[in-house]
Amino acid sequence: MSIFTWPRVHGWATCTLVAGMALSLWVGLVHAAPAVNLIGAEQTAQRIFYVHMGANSMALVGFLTSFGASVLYLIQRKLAWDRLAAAGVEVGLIGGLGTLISGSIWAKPAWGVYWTWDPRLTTAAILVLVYIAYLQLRNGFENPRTQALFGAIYALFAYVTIPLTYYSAIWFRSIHPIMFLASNPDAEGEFVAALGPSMRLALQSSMGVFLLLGVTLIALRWRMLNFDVRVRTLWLRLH
Amino acid sequence: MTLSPATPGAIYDPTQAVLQRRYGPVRQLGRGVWLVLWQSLQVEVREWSAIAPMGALGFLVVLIMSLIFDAGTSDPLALAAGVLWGALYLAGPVGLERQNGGPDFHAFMSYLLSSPLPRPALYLGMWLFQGLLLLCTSCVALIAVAVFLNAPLGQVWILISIVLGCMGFSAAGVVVSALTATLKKSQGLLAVVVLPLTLPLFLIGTSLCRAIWNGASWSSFQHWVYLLLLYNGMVLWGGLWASEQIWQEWQ
Repeated sequence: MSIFTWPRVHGWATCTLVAGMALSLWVGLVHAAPAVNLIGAEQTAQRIFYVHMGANSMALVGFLTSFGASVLYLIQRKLAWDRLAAAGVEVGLIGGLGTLISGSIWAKPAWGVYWTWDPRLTTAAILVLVYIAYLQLRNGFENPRTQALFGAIYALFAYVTIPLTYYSAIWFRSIHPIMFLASNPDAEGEFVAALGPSMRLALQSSMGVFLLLGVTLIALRWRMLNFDVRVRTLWLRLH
Repeated sequence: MTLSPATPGAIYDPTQAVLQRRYGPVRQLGRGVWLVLWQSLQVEVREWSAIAPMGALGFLVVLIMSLIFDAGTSDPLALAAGVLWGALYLAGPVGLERQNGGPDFHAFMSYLLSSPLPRPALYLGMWLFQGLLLLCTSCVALIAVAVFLNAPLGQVWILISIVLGCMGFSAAGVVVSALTATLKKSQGLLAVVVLPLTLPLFLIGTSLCRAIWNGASWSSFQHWVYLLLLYNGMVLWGGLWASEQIWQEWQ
């Protein structure tokens, strides 16, 4: 029996993820040095940063998968790509909501409010709403081909919100810091240069584990959707 | 002028070829756009099915918002900008739903799709029509904002921003309404799908109007105008491509 069968891959991925998540949480919450420029509750709350960025990377992998799979569907017209796009959006939404919720929890001690209409927060909320609308639209169609085509078209339009969210904090400077653009004079940290070694390790491990979580969840959800189609086909044959 | 298909694999349509020979591709497209626009305007003038609820909703939004926020804000012109764009933003889906949600629309589209009009003309005609409806609504909303919130009328850049906003909303709205028109239970779904996609327009438009009404110079608000143009260009280009795919699926 091959070691690359689905149940085995699933088992290995689950074990790796549980161990990796426990390790990355330990690194982020215990091992990483506290932020020296903060004090009190704000310093403690800063550790949400690692979960916040991790959830963000999971959202990114989900939405990128959805975009790529939608383009491939439009080129090849294979329904498997459409199911991958749907799986990507579902996982991306979990990551997106995780980013918004963890950001709000962090914002209370850092900015004094759970929510403010900062451009980055606003565009991130739009992003989540756009992809919720994608799922609503998909659920409305009965014909799988129409569902796939119209879903793919909408996914391409929806993808525009991702660069908009990324660049919103750079174009419209407000309260949200810029993390990954050292050339920008307003940037508050290029993660290789500005963070200390333990903080860098915590951030990288968290992003890596969440990225793996995203990929695994997409693969599992995609497989589930494929099974769903097979079950429906068998049911139709029986009745 | 050749009568053979323009691209290899394309279906040869003799009616298209005759029209192309008679008018030329650009003139034929312009004529097609005008025909779709004219037909839609005739139906709308006869029935007032979209413009009446859009105008009424636009006016009501301004009225209700003015009542709610009457207690004196620190920046009344910022409030006026938000209310104006809010009225446009909420009235837009109503027009799209009234125009494209009914059974008549399917008959109208079947007729258009079986006619020898170039496909981009269908999208562009509907885009201009929805844009015109929104512009009419914005006139009502703008007058209401001037009356209730004391906002100055007649500034050229305000009018330009509204025209750009209406055309951008229409470009996205026509695609989304074509996507949702085939659904059996599409009531309310159009608004759920189109509003998040057009939310950037609302944000850009509100910031632009606030800046103009607060007396900002061209150099300080030009980036908002460029963003509006960029959004419109992207959505229009994407809409032209997507509508072709959607019409094919409709047939």
